[in-house]
Amino acid sequence: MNPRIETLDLCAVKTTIATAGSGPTLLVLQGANHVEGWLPIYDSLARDFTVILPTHPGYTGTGPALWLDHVSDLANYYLDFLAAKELTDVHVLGLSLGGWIAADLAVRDSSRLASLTLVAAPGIYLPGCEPLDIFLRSDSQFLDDLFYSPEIAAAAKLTALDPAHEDALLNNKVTTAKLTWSPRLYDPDLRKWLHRIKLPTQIVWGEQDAILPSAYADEWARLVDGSRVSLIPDCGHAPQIEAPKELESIVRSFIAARS
Amino acid sequence: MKIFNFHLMPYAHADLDAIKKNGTAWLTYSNKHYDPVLGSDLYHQYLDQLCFADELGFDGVAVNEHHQTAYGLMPTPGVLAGALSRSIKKGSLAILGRALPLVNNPLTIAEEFAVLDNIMRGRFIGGFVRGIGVEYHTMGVNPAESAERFNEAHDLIIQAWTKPGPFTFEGKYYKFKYVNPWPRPYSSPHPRIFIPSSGSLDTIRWVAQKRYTYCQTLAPIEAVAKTFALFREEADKAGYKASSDQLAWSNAIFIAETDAKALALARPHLETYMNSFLSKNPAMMSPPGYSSVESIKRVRAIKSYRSAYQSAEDLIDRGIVIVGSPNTVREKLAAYQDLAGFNISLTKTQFGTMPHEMARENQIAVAEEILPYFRDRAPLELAQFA
Repeated sequence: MNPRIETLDLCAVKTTIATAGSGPTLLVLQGANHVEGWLPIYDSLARDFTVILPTHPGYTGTGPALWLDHVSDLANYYLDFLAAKELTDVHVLGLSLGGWIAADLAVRDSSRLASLTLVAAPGIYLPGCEPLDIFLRSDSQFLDDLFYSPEIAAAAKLTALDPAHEDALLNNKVTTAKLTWSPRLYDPDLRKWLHRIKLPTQIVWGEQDAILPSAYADEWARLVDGSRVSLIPDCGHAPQIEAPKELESIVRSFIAARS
Repeated sequence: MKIFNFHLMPYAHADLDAIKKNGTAWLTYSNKHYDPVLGSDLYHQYLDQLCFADELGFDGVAVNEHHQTAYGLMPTPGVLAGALSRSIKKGSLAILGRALPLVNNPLTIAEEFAVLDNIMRGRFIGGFVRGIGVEYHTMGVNPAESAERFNEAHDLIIQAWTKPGPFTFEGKYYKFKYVNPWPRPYSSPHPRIFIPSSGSLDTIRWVAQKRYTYCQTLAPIEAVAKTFALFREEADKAGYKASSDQLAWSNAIFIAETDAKALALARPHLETYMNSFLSKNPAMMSPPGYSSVESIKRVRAIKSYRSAYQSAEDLIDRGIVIVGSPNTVREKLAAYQDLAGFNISLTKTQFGTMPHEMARENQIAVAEEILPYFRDRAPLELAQFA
């Protein structure tokens, strides 16, 4: 299935939005790697949802976002996004960095949201549980870290390390460093206000996540009232690629139980 | 030409096998390998060498700043400059330089340099750098903010030195209700400023526009000549003719009776310096945002860059260092000066694992065999224009 591609000019940044399917809105906030594009899991979900996949400002091909300094800037941006698109009852699927953005925006204003699924989300710090230093890894090493399966890592290298993606990868890494270098992969203010999230929330993690240990799943669950944890076995930091069927079923059953 | 004696203050007792096993002498090379008894002796030897350089008639002495590495033991160069400031009686004292974005409060650098400039009665030279890439890992500063922080910190320091205080400074990164540092610099309007760089076009252009002195870090002389030519072009564009006193080349010199003896003596120390102490890990040295996407791609394109083992012969043949008999060193330095058009040499006489006595003999050789021949020598081409 080919998603419908449109350009959005919002907050002085032009971004690309891919949309497919019909039904309740499922907004997918991507991770920092951001060169995965439209994945098969979005096609499957589009059978029952209107899947919307935006490009984050500052990432692939959007040009500079002069106001972008912190992840919280992206949270505010997506509040404007929801309002501009007049979206309501939105289910949010936040992948890695996208999960952090989703949690932050839900703390600020969840009036347009219906549920949250946070997948391997950074954003909080658990003392003694250090994330991998992604900025000391080469692009190739990073893909080895990203997946549990060496075969999937090898396949990902063939596409992600294609010279056509070089500019995007370099640019995205700079934006990610700008947002997450220090404090490394978290915002000290975020955990103070996570109790404000009153939405149905689930935390999803690959059991073998080598980038952000799955112990973080329990910490998120502790901080967000009423949230629940689903662990995916034999899976690393990117279940949307490594365990798409499991992730899809987790998303579907969670939303179905609350509709 | 002005010849400065430049020191990196390496941890000469580094365990080279441990560095090899760790893959780098930076960031992750554990400080358990630092022996404070041996290290304290090194500090005294190195400071003695720089005081000796002043007695020998070098035009100045210079220190720099690096963090969490055996490559150089000067995380706080102001302390070492302070230790030298009362002993350097004739020459200049230079910090090349302080890494502005690595501190949370650059006003402290304005103060530190102003104090040194007062003690030196104006013979102080202040250097500003961004710090090399790995230092954004060691100091936890965001590399994507590096260039903006550098520019803002620089503007703050210059204003603190030149604008009567107190005044308010509201930048993006640095905000002060009161800027009014005591003392003011001894030099008017402020100390001479040297900017060391590995040769990025943005830096070359900026230094030329500011009319500061540009210092080229370790590089083959052909590349140095091209960089200095670019600097002169950028000065032309800025509406003035660059002086050769605005161009400094950072090098190492080692002298013995014959070329063969000099090579044999210098080899282990040079090769340790280039192959064990310098880091070659791109993820470590080039964190995201530190350099522009264009310059990262340019460096990637030159894949051989610093990747292979560098022999002493390579370093000498490419004109990165000068090693040989007094006559050879004189001829090469003169040829390089004419080729690249610089009038300042930042010369290391100790490098890598070189022991104290050997470094001292080398300093004496440079003082006797080189300094007198270059004191009144300007680059040939520029001398003709003058």
